[in-house]
Amino acid sequence: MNIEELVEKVNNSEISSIRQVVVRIVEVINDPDSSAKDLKDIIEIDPPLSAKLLKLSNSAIYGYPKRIMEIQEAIVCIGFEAVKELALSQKVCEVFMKTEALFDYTRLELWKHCVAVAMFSKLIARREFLERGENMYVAGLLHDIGIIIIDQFLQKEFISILERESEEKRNLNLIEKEVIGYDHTDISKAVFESWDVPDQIIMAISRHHDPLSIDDEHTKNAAIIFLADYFCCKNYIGYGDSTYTYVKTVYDCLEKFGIKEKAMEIILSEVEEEIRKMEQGGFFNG
Amino acid sequence: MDEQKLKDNIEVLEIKLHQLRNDYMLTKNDHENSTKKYLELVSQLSEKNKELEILKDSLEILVAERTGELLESEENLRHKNEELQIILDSSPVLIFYKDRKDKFVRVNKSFADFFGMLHEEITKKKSKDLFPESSSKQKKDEKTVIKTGKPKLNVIEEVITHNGTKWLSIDKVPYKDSTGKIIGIIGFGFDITKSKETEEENKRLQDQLFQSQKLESIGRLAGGIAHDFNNILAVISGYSEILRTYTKDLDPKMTKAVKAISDSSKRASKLTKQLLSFARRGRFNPVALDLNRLISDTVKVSEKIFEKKVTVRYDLDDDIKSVEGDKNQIIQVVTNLVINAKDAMPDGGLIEIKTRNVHVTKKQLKEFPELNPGEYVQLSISDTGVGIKDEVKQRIFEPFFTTKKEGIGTGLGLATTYGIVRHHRGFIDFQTRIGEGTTFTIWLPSSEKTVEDAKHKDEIIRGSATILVVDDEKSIRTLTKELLEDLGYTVLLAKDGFEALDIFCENRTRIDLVLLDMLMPKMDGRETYFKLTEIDPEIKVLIISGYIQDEKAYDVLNKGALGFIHKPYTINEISRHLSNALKN
Ligand SMILES: Nc1ncnc2c1ncn2[C@@H]1O[C@H](COP(=O)(O)OP(=O)(O)OP(=O)(O)O)[C@@H](O)[C@H]1O
Ligand SMILES: [Fe+2]
Ligand SMILES: [Fe+2]
Ligand SMILES: [Mg+2]
Repeated sequence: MNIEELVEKVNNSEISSIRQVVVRIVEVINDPDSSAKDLKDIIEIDPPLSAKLLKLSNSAIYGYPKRIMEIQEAIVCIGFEAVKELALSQKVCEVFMKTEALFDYTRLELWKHCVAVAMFSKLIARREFLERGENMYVAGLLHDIGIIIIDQFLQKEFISILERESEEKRNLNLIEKEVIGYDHTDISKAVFESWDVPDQIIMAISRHHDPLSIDDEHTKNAAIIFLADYFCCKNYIGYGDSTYTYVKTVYDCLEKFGIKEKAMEIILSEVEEEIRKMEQGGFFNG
Repeated sequence: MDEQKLKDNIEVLEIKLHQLRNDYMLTKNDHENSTKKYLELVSQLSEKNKELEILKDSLEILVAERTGELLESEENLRHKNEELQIILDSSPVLIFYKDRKDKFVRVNKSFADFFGMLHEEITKKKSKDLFPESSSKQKKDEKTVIKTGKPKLNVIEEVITHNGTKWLSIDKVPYKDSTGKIIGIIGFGFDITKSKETEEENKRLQDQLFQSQKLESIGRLAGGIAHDFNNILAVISGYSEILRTYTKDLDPKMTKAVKAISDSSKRASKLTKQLLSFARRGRFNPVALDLNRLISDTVKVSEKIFEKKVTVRYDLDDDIKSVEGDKNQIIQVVTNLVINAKDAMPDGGLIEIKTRNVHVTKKQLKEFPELNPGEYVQLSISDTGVGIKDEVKQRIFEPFFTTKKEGIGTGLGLATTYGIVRHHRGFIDFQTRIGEGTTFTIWLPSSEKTVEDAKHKDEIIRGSATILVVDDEKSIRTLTKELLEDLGYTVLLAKDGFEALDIFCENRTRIDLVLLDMLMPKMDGRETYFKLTEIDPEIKVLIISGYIQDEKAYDVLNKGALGFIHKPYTINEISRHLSNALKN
């Protein structure tokens, strides 16, 4: 199957049902004039999402003393930013819902990985680059969607890819390329281009395994996802597809942007803590 | 600690500080954004006003209908003059007829009564002689009705009567003879003074309610952020204090670096404390205070830094009652208000500070249903400065709202003041006139308690008792252990309530005191406290927390805990608390 056919299949499948909500929230993120009402409207069109969001808004993670009954209230009580992230991560979660354990990989574990990479990327953007980091959050959340797509539409190939990964101890994307001719970053790029996701996000995702090969305005964002991905995998937060990354690239990245390794460790411990709280709060129960 | 380890520690602290600073800046922006978004949500409520508008429209139609009916019967009425007058006089509506020359032809009893005149005093007189102060718009209105023959309905006019200023809603319709020629004007006036007043009162109340709800929710947002910062800061400042005692004899460069870290984290901690007091989650140590003395002590210090052009005048009530409050917080309130007053007078002027005992009535507290009427102490600080513009008035209590240059104002002054005053079960208000000055007034409930002299000691008190430290955060646990061991104590650690109970059971005879964190997952500090007192009713416990969730900490304090320590704390503070508690 070539990549165009694959994209068409994806767009005719359940996966594309997240498109509208995701793209519209990304619009809200990038439009300084957008209002809390815009966000509320986007969420309320989707009743199951609204219900889930209210349930989580009332969980111990946010520790809000009164019962939150409406999305509008959630925006006021736990914050505009938090509701955006919650809505995105819960919507994207729908793609990961079906659990089928193969080797190390289960979809929910992969989702946990994506949530961790999202948080990690956002923190790097904020702490090291003084940027708001919301687009990096989105990119982190979506960066490995390509893997799910392979799992769903190229199941036979995927089984052999996973087998080879554990035998050859090489990163997943390299083996994907050998087996099917393209890897999960190529797939993500093609799908998100057809969804009108902003370039900035697409390029960060599509180059997240190879950030330094080209030096342009997207290099920094790709490097952010790459670093977040690497540190999450190395510390076994969820299922990792970058366990065998070439460490030199990591150090090159850190050096290029003047980031200290200790800075990554500090962020890591915060992400770990946050994920632990989310686990306790039932966030990953699907 | 060897030198390399020390260097590493300093590096980590530096990175943390750098990250914290960036986060803080972004969070501040986000925060402003959230505030904006919140306001948008609130403004949607004004949609409701549209419904009112529709109601008003249908009312207008009704009035027009009624007017039409009255007009129809006009023909008949002209021939039944007396009957007419009787009918007119029985109407509560103010009715008048004027000819084209503005002369009154007829008015009804309601009209005459309303203006406190007799019928005969009015007819044949010109309206401009009777009501010399009537507006030119009113005259123009009437001219156009006569000229165009089209009625003007629902004209709101302010009129002066022997009963004071009143509001009328007047329908003015052309007065036609049987041939249809316009010979004058007929007016129907409705006294709307009452509804106008209640409308204004309602609007004012509603505005104030929005304002306080808005501030409450901003406060919650701010409190959440500040609480997290505080925990991070506790670790940074704690370790840098430890580092400081170790670096004394080392490389002076390093000593400087450690000092810089510790100084910056102190500054950051001051900022978050301000945020916390706005969010009403800060430390709260109420004692009886003499406001007069506190004012003169505080303002004298600030007076020194004022340029000579600013004069301060005191008008303090010698018999002022005491108030119960946190001394530092009340000092902060006075300082904030005085500095704002000074800032409002770039060319100098007069600050007047006044205290009074007052009785506050239920009516004054309409917007604060949770406060009780009764005896309050009133403090007002007036300036002769620039005043506050209408569009700024709404926002001055919002955190981060400032009209001052960057670096001069952070916009936390009044937000903090508001939080503190509300936390003390008081309230705040202000009056201002552009170009003339502003007066901020706060009311705090007065107390019967007498003021005691507090002695502050800055020394570190060492000890040798055994302390059980219960805290869910590992970094805080380790830090506390190191601090306490430096003070000579023996320390046991528990990572949650369950472990604390186990350790306490096993070492009951050894443990002299428990340091208990309030906010823990699973079993919180309060529950743990109750379980501990079940094992040993005489147990000594000090509560420790980043902020008070008011009821919980107070509950535990009421049930016998010996005191409350606020994170981040200094060595002095914790040593003092411990030695006091152990003395008991
Ligand atoms: N006495 C006053 N006269 C005129 N304007 C005032 C007065 N007090 C406060 N304001 C206005 O209210 C704004 C908010 O005051 P606030 O004390 O909260 O912040 P700030 O003084 O600007 O900064 P900060 O107190 O944090 O240094 C001020 O910027 C100013 O515009
Ligand atoms: Fe990947
Ligand atoms: Fe990944
Ligand atoms: Mg101020």
